[in-house]
Amino acid sequence: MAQQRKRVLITGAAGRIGMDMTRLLGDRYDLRLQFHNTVPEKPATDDYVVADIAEYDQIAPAMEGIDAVLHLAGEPAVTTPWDRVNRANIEGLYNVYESARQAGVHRVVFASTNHVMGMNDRDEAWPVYSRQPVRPDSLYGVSKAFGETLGRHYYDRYGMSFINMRIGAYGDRPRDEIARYMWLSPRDFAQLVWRSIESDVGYATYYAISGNTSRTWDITDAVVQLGYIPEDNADDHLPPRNHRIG
Amino acid sequence: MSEQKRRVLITGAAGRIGTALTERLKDRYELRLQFHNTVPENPLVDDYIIANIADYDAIAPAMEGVDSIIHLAGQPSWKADWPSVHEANVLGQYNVYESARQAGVRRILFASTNHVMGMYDRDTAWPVYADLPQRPDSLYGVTKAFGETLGRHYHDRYGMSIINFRIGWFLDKPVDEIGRYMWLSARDFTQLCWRAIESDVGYGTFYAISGNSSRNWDITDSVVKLGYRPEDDADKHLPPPDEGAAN
Repeated sequence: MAQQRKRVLITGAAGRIGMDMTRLLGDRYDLRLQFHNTVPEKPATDDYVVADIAEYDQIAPAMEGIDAVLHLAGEPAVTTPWDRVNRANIEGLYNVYESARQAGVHRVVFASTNHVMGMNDRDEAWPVYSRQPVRPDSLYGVSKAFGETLGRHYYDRYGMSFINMRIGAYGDRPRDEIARYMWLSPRDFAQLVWRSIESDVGYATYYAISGNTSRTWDITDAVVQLGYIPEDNADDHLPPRNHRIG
Repeated sequence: MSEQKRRVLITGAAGRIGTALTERLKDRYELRLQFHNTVPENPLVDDYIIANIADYDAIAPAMEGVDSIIHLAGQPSWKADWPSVHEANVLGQYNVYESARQAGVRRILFASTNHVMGMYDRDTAWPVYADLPQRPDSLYGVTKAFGETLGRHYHDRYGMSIINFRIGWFLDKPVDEIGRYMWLSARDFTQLCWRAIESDVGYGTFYAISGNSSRNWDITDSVVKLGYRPEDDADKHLPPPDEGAAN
């Protein structure tokens, strides 16, 4: 008898990362998708909800029967003003986590951000390890740090599993010198996500970047604890590094 | 010519801690007090404002000419529900910090809480050092952790001085075994506050407890960086610890 596939809810499924993860994980899991207000022309699955995560009663029904949530929904721009980061990334995140808890969801994989540590980058205080104290560079980063902390609490208090992914610069290709050290390819993120969903990890925080030779952020913990084997490297796509810089 | 006293705003001044600090700091600083909705019968200070910190426009005027803030206002109950801790400790916190920044306030002392680290206590994972990762035991603790992180950002980005005090149990006298390790006397917290206001510390997070011989939380950093010399010790007010109940 075939093992039943896990049911995974992807919030923010209409975004760039959401669309890619839907495509790359659709064979491995039974996906449910959450869209904020726009449904793509041809959704990859019939199982989707249109909901604003800032409204508890809208998002709660999406949690039924779900094993794991890939939580991508929220305000994604580093310059987002306070009112919007509060609504989507604090109130909305709380609604997702609390409704997931009430529905018995086992695990949340959270799209956090390198901006939680962005002041280390501003100060070129490298390398950065994920265990260091948070130093957000923006209210956006502060709101994502809140999300990580709420996950820590829910893990400690309720035993749910939370894995925070501090995403670098996500895209098909690295486009500039900054991406040289922080690029995250779609297939490497998909791998991180499914390895997280399949893992025994209870609570953890990882940088989510490809195997970039020029990286300044440590990914050893993801390699050791998740078995992450990145397939991509920004240096393969960019001219050789100018050694006079830095 | 006498030196002008610093103007210090105490938010949440009607609470137990606010009342005690007002009495003990009113001669050292020019105090301004913020009350949420109730003004005490005989306010010790004439300069006060009634404002809900969750309302930016109501709290912003309080910041004018202020050198330092002792930010006590918020939802203090560790069992409070999400809407109330979110409004006071997230929205209200942002309003206080952002209006302070805009007014050029130099320093904020934040009444954080031991509940930011409460899961270490639940697990008796002692001693706890202030620089360990946050492990809040409640939504209240999560929102206070947010408050600390917001302060970290405001220090890093704007150069404001932010000092977080993870308060133990503020009481006249310790009354039980929990107080034995987490008591904070009024005079010890007063000392922590004025030392912090006078210090050069840019950003710091400290446990705020008295010199309790039976403490489980480290206070070395406050002794070294703030010059804190606690006058009180819970063990002096309680029967000797039960030898059989150790660990």
